Amino acid sequence: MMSYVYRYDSPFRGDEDHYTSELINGLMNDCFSHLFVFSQSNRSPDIVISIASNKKRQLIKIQETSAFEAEEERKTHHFKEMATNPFARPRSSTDYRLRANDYFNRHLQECQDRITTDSSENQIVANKDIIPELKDTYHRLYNTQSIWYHPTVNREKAMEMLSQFPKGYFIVRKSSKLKHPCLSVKVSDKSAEVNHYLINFTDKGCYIDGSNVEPYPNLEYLIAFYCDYINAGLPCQLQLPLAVRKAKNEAELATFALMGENFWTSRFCEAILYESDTNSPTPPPIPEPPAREPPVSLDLPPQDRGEKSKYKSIYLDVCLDHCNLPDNSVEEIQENPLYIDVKELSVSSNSPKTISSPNHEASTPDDQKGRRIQALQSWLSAPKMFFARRITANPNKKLLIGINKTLTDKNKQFYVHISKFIERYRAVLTAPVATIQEDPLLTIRKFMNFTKERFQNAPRSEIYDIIIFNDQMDLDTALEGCLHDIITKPLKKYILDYLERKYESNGSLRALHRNMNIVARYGHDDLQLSKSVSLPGRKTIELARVFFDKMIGEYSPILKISNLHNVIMRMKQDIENTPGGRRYLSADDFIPLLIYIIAKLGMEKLLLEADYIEGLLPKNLLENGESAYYATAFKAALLYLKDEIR
Amino acid sequence: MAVREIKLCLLGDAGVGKSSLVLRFVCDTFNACSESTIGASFMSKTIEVNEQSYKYQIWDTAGQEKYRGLAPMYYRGAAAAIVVFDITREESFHTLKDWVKELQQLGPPNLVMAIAGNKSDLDEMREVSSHDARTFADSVDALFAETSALTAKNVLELFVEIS
Repeated sequence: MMSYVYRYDSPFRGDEDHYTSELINGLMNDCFSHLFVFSQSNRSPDIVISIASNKKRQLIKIQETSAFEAEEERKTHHFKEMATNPFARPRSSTDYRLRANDYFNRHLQECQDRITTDSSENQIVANKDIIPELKDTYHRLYNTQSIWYHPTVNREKAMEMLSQFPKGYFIVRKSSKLKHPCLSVKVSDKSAEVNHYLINFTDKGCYIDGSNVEPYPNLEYLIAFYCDYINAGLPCQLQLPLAVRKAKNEAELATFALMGENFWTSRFCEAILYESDTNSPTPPPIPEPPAREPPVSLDLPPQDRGEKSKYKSIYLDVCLDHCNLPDNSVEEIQENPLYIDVKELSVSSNSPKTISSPNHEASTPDDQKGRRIQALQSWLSAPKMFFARRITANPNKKLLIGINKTLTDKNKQFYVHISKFIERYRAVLTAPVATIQEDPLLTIRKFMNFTKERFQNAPRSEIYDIIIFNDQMDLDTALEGCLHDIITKPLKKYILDYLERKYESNGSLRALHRNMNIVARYGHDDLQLSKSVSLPGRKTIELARVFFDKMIGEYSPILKISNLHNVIMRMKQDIENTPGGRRYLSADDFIPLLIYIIAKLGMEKLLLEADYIEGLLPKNLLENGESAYYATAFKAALLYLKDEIR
Repeated sequence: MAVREIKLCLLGDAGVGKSSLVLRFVCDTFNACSESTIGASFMSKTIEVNEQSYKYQIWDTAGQEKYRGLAPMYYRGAAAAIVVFDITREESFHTLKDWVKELQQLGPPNLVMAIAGNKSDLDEMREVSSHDARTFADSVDALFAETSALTAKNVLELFVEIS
């Protein structure tokens, strides 16, 4: 029987009506047994404690803490100041939060007792199996305000607090001169430089002084925006502390939130100075890891079905970072619980020796385990970075919804054009291959580019008002995602069917099948691998099968590429983890290895996938960067297998 | 300041040190402040030359004869190519000549070519003279440098010159 208690310190005064009801709706989704909201009353100098139970989903008690205040030394001048400045909160030693903390601790038991007796349903238990996954930054920010919102911290203290953390780490404090909230951000990994930005509040909401971004309704939304966007106008993207980003559910966040400012000096927030370094991503250990499944062991036989599903869940975990997913696939992901628990891995690998010496030659069982865990960790973290930073700039949901609405509104001309196009291309793609003149994939891509362009130049009346975007990149990324949902998805079946008929009629699939069988029997020398590189093991090949299967299931070429990326990262890890291995997988070995893996899998359909990706990936991803390189290598490997084996 | 992206393709026989040459360039510590990526046989690195930022995207290719047919897919759309040979293996210099010929015929127009004679630290085992290599480079309008990934000699200079 577990119960979680959540405490929320509201930053602004007079929130009890607004925030409390919002919190209850948003946070009480079976996550916590009890909710306490501490906020400053706008009717009196009192702290208001709102208490709610998740079973009732409503506010059951608001207690104004006059009694408690009377116990403390009252400092009236603070409250006078508050009357003139809506954002002021008591400063000095009798800080509101400290007092609230104190009060909370003293009265926790009492409050809980009261809820239990007040509530008609006495079994207020949050079952951790039904704790929803955290989906977005806003959610995380919302739940951990006590970590990043520090109204009593001054400029110097902020700089000191942030000095040892990676770039992008931030807190919101109150400017001592202007009595405004102020964002302090660490802007460099190499120095202790911290920048400060004033946050202005207007009737419409809040925004960073000097920015040209539309105001956001509250601070969390504003911060979330700067966390999710790369080129939002700050020198760097904001980053929540690693532990907060990695927390899997609200209960864990609540654990951190309860620490308040102490979080920054706790063990959860240390030794991550260069966490962006992909070679050593060691998430800090997190308490009470939910023990759903034992940590995954790479020693399990790969054919084991359970093992396979675990690997699938790694992918899903990765996918959650990609907010471009259509609604139904998000549901699909949530149906599959994530079995791999990074936190468990880190807990079991907290032997500093294993972490600090990845290349240690000794092979004691502990060392091997540590290395495996480390490998898995960095492997898990690599594709995420790929998603979050390189492919999609994590366009915000509002933007996605706005675009989607605009493109699917039956009264708008976009819808008419798109549905006509889809209808026509269904017919084109089902025609006999010999009669198809132009490359249909090329035409589909052109149509998508054309729609993008039209969307960007469309009159305001054609576009939903809620669309706000900060720069062209974000709009482009969001549009790309939506267009795949709307155009590629309904055509996918037809495209693949067409490609299959095309390659069947010219004998390519048969040749590919034959050649794959030949290459699958190749040895080290036939492939001409360097001496220090060994053939991929069965585990790697089975894992590749899982990812390639997943690739075939996707309709978005961007998600297809990300599956390919997962395969390649695994190959790279293999090389790095062989004893005396090199840290770089040279093309002299990479290309033959990729050819070998594909041949070994015998998946001829990957040829269609390569064409699909090449045909539908947007130009910027097809010609530039890592994704472009891997797409080329993938296509090259398949063409080699198709044409060059004699 | 806009960053100029340069797609750079690496060609040359297997074992001539293509990868180590580039790793040297990408990982070199005295350029610590610039960002770099090391993927699987793909690397990128941003450097500043005369106040202009250049982002090199380095596409590595397989050097074995067997996989040579795949190279055109890699150098398609490249702005520059570095063809590497091993000064201690004359044979690799012949392959280099083939590469250069192929690039001239099939490579993208306006491709900047650079020839790197790698392993210059092994001077005593040299099979290709500096003079021969330079004459050849001049004859095809290519940049030329003798490099050593071991001692980092001329590596950065070569990349800077390409920009």
